[in-house]
Amino acid sequence: MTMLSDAIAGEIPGRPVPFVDADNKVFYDGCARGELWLQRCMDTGKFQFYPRPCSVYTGGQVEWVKASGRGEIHTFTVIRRNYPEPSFEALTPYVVAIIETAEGVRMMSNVTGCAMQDIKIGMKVEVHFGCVNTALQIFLPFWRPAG
Amino acid sequence: MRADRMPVIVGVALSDYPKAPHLTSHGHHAQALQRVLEDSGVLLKDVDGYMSVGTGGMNVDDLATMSEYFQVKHRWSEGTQTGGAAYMGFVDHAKTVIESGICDTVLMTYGSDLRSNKRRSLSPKTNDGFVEAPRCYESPYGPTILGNYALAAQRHMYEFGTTLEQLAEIAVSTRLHAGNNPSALNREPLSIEDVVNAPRVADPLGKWDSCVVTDGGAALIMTTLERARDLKQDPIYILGSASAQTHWNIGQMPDYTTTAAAIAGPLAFARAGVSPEDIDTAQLYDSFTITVMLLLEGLGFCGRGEGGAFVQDGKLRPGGALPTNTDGGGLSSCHPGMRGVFTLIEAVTQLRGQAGIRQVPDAKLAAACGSGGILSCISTIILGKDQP
Repeated sequence: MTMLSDAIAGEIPGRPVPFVDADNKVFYDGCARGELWLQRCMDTGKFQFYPRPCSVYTGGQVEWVKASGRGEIHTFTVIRRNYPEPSFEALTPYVVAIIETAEGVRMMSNVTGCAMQDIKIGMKVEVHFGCVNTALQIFLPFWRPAG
Repeated sequence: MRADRMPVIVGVALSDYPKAPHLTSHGHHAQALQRVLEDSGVLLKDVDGYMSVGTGGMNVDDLATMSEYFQVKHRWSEGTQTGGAAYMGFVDHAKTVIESGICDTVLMTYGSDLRSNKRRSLSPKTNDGFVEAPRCYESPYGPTILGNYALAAQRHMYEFGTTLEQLAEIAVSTRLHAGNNPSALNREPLSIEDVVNAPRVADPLGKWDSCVVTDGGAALIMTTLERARDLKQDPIYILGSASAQTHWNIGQMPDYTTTAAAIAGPLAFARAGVSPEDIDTAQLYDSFTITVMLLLEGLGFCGRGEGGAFVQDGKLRPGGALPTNTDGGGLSSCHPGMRGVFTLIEAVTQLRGQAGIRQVPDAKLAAACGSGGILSCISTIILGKDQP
C-alpha cells in the first residue's frame, strides 16, 4: 500500500512558484492565513476560479468570498514519471487531481494523506495549505480526505 | 462567391522526418517551402498571403520572423496560436480571405527540430523559478502533458466504462498504418497487450498512449480554382471548416469528456453538406489515444461516450470502415510539437491518390481535425477530391 506523502505539499527545490500579482493577491494572501478565498459574480451569484478582475459569466463585477474549503475529486491522475523535472520525479508517484469545491468551481491540486489505492472520483476532500516558498511565504491549497 | 474564386489546396509537402539532425527548425520551414513550390508549380513571387506560427519558448519561428526569413511580400498574414489546431484554423481563415479576393495565393509553413535540438523543451520551467497566471494555478502541482490528458481519460472511463483495451486499440490501429509508411518513427507491430501492459506514466495512460517526439516540418499552398487550373496538381476542395474553443489550461475545461469538436465538427460538416458516415478517411490529431477518442465523439462519428465501442472492432485500422491517421499519426510516425498541419497533408495526399501502399482505395472525402492546447482549441476541415 502506497501512502500519498505530504512532501508534495511542501517546499520542493525547482518547483515553479506562483508569481503573486494584482489579480491573485487576495487568493494567495488567504492561502498564507490558511483560508481559501474565491471570487463570486455580483450579477449571478456564481463562483469562479481562477481569479480575474471581471466575471466570466457577465463581464461584470466580482467580489471575494471566503470559501468552505470542502470539495470532491472530479478527476485525477497518478503521476508515475515526470521527465524532465527532477524535483517532481523524486516525489513520484503523486496524485494530480481536479477538485470541485462545494461552491462549484474546479481547480487543479495534489491530494495527500491517504492510500493511493483509495483515491477515486467523487471522494470527499478538505483543503489544507502548504508553504512552497519559505522566503516569500507563498502557500498553496492542497486537499486530503475530508475528516 | 464566384466559382473561379473557390479556394482549393494546390500544394503540400513535408520536410525530412522523424529524425533530421541536419535541419534547424528554420531549415524545416525552408525545405518544406522548396518542396511545396516544386509540388504545386507555384512561384514564390506569386504568394501574397502567408501563415505561420511559432511555438513560444520552443523555437524562434513566429510569423513575423518567418515572413522576414522567406522575404514573403504578403498583403495578408495570419499567426493565431491555437497550438495543434493552428494550421487547421489557418485553412479555415484563409478560405474566406481567398473567396473574398483579399489575396490569391496563401502559403503556410511549419518546422520543428524538437527531437534533435536538445535545447528544445516543453517544460514549464522559467528562468527565475516563478510562473505567472494562469499557469501558476497548475504547474506548481507537477502535472505533465500526458497527466493533463490522463485527467480526461480517467473521467471518460468513470462516466462511460471505457476500457484501457479500447484506448489501446487506437495505438494499435495507428501503428498498423505506420507499418505502411516507410518514414514513420515506430513501425514494428504493437498488440493490445503491449499497450495495456506497458508501464503507466500517468494513470490511466501508459507509454504507448503517448505520441512520439520527432523533428518535422510541412508546407501547404491554397489558391483560387482559377489559378489552380495552371498548376501541377489536381486541386483538393475545402468543403467545410470550423473552429471552436472551450478553454486553454486543463483546469478550466468545462466538461472533461467533451471537446470543442462537438461544436466545430457539426458546423464543418453542415457547411460541407456531408455527414460523418460519408467520410472515407479521417486524420485526427493524436497527441494521445484519448485525444482521438474524444475527437471521434465530438465530430459525430459516434455518440458521446461511445468512442470505446466505436473503435474496438478495428474500424480505424488499414482496410477498416474508417481508416484513421493513415500515415501512422503522431502516436507512431511524426509529432514535432504541433501536428495539425500533418493531418491536413495526409488528408490531401490520400484524396490525390498519392499515398502509395497506404492509399485508402477511392478516397473522395476526408475529415481532418486539429486539437490544440490540452483538448482546448479544435479546428475541423472537410476536404473533397471532386468539385462541389
